[in-house]
Amino acid sequence: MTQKGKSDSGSAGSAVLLAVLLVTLVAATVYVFAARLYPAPPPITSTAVLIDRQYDLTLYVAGVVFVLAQLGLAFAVFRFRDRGQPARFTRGNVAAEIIWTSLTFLAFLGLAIAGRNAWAEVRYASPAPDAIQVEVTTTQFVYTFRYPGADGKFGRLDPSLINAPAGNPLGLDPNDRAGNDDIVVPDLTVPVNRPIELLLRSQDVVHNFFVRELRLQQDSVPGMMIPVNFTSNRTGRFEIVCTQLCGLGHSKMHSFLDVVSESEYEAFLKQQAAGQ
Amino acid sequence: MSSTHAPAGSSRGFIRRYIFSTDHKVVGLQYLFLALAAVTLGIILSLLMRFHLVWPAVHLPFVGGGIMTPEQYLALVTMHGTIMVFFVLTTAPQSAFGNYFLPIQIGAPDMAFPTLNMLSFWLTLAAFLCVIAAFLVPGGAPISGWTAYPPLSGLGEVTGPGEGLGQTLWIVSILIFCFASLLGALNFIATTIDMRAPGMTLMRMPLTVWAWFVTAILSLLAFSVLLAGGILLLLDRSAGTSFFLPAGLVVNGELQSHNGGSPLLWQHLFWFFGHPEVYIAILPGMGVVSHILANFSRKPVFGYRAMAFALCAIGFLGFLVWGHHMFVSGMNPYSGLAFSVLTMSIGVPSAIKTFNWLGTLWGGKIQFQTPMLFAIGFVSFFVTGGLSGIFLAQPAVDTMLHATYYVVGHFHIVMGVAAVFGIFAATYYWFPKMFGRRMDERLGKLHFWLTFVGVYCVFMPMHFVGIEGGIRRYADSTGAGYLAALQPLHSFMTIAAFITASAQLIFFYNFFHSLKRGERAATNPWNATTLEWATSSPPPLNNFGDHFPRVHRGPYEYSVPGEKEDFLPQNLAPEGSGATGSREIPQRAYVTGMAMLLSGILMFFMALVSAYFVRKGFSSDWRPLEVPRVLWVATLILLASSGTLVFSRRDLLARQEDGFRHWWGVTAILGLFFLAAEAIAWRQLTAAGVSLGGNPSGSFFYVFAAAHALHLLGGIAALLVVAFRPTTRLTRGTATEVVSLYWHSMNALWVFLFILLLAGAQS
Repeated sequence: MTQKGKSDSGSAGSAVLLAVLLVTLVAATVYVFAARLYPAPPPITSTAVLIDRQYDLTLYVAGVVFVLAQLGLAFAVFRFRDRGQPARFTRGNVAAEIIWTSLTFLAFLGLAIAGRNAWAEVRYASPAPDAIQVEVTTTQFVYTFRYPGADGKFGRLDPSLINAPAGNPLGLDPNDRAGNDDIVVPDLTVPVNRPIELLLRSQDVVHNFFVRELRLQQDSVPGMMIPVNFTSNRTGRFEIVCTQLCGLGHSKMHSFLDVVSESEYEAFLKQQAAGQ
Repeated sequence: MSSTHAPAGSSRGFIRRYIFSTDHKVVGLQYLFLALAAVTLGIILSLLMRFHLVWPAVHLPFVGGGIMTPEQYLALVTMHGTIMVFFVLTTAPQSAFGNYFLPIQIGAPDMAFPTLNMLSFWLTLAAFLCVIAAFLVPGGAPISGWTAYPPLSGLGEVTGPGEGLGQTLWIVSILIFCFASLLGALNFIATTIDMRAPGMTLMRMPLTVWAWFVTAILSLLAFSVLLAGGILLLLDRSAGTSFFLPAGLVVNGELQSHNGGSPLLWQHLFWFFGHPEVYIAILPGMGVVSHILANFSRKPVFGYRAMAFALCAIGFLGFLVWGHHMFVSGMNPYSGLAFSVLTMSIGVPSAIKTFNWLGTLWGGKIQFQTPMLFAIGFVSFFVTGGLSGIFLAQPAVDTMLHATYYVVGHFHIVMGVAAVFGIFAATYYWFPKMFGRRMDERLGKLHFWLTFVGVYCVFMPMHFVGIEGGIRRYADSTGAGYLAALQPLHSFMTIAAFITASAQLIFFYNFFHSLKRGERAATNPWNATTLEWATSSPPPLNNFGDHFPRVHRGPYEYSVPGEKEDFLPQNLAPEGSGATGSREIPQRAYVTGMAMLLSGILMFFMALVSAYFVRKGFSSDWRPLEVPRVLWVATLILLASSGTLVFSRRDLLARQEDGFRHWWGVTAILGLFFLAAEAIAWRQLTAAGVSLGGNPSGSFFYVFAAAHALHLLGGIAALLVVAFRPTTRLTRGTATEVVSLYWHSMNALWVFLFILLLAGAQS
């Protein structure tokens, strides 16, 4: 350890290397994010667009702080490496503390407020009254989707009747007439530009329903019926994945969201009804 | 533990000095070596995981069967997380370095409760062996992650391999670990409050001491809740209760017999512990970094008061944000907004600390020895990891990032890197003091440069994988089609991981080689100011020999204008002498310790009471429980016993020996009568068909009653011990005061629980 007034000749190398690495870190990180080298797939709902905007806003704020802090660190270790100079004695600077604390507080509070809508739209708002309801049942390790059929009513389910090999994966009660026209399928087909309400439930453990393009993710919890809603403004086939660890088949548990035109959706319903 | 250590005046054998030692320095080193063993295992597990993700078809000879199955991968995920979080990140920064250096830095001869300290270590070791045993039992280690969400973790083998005995061993290990942490925490708190040297005010404590102190408070209050949750999970698995398991579960075609429990209840209990836990992992590192930055910049910590305040603020706010792990869990979305705002607020004291670290460097005379390099690295990683957190703190953005690799990148950078850099910094910094020898500086620097670059290469790409939708805890990419495109990033990370892990061998070699062959260290090789540098390297058995320090100034008086040296030791007296003789453990420390124990017990019961209310409101299977009349009698007996205890203490203080003994004995007997009455109530309920697993109100009765009865039994045992054993360190006045505090508190707790049960009988 060096005495006051004497310099540590080993400092220059470490200081330079640290500064160079930090600058490289900043450059590489900013490049990857700015060039959007690994983007999420394009959003297909207006809420997803709101979420993306909030993500971008957060990225700018975090990015600015990241750049300033890492470069500040790089500058400080380089500029104040031991070259024989005495250290500048100070216990702190209350004014500076107050200023940067307040700025941080305002920035974070601002972000929290700005993000309110994106959350509220999905979670607080009830779906439109003409929303198409689809029940989503998760089990180890498949998704099963149920439509109420022409009568618009879901039939009664009884866990003791569940028998997937026999063709009754949900435990539909044959004595309940409302269930006779229920459509039970392994993929989710919905019409474009129509509000969809998904009713998430689970038969065994906690699972999850996640579609990247919807920017929508929700756990399905046994013992609960959890509604989420969305309106897709684009047709296409999108992947549904499970993100909540559910057992050894977790990484294999996936399905598809098919957003189709209104006429294709009607055709789908007719075809399913005819097959019953 | 080195051969150069010759404790002054000790005639104890090898076993008492190095194995079952109550010396906080030995206990601290035992924890350190446990953490080193744990981190080695944890890294090996993670390398197996990273290897499998990129080369899944390659035969691994020691993996049973050759090709790793998904369940084996998930067992690795679970055990890697569990071992790293508990046995490395909770153990090394706090239990290892805190135990070693807290007493010395405050000028004390040892912790307040040395025997309890030793017990804490051995319990921690037992917990470690218990969790490792999960690898060896049929079914193997659990596959539910370190978070162990029920029903996956709550139903036994039917949900998957490893969920049988493996999961049970995991839970038992965690319960033992909770006990060990609680005992350790109350030791740290009592020591910090009651055993500081003369002149060491709170505002003259090193920031390391502040950090260990706040962390201990977090441990005390958080592990109590995990203890409660873990017990309830164990009951769900083996006693037929339904705290977390709802009705109608059909697993693998089998209908389960549970009823009405809430999986979200587990998540709340777990994360109420889990979030403070990550602050427990990082706070000591923050203290060490502040300490080292000042030392090697030759300047005081910038804004010392603000730094101490920020530690407290982070600790406090850390208890209010747990819901940010549960934004998409199905909990009320309005609480999502509340948790989000609180989580963003934690960013404020964190930012204060970052700015002040930069402020400490600013204008300094920076020297780049290895401890300093790791401290500077910590700042960089804390900035990166902290900033990725603000994305996850907002529920709308979290909706697309939850459970992706983005989260994995975030928590690895803050915990797996920043906190570990804190451990490295502490090791290089304090190695000379602990072992009397220096670690090799060139190897240390090489270790730093390779690791700094390496960990950024391993963990930064995880954010990109997550943004593009790569999901965590996936054993492979063969499910959804879009995952295949992420493989190149995974390959890069795996190669970086192997290189970085190899670089750690430099550290291990340096550490163990220097233990025997390192250059001899001086008393104060870093020209530092705090009290650990005022004693020999390593310190004598009671830390300071005959010259216990008196403190005359703050902890970071570097480069004070007008002084000859660029550092002023805390104990350097203006006149020159400064010695105050040896120091005993003050009696008031025992009262503080008991108050802390009671706080932990209170949190434990509050967790159970919260579970009670949540369970009651969650489902419709709640049937009111008729409270047996005999419990009214039991309650009166217990209240009477508080009265007799008061009489007993009054007589003791009036030196009426007979009166004291008489009333003391009556108190113990009344306690036994209470337990007998409770046993009668228990029999009546079981005879009436109220079983542990049937009606949830019955479950809670038995849990509350049993938990309270066990604590009361402990109280009766304490009464007997005080009556029959001559006390050594405690005076009889203190012993009776402390036991009375406990007894009255347990009685008040019973009254509260009894009222709760009565109120529940109405609805």
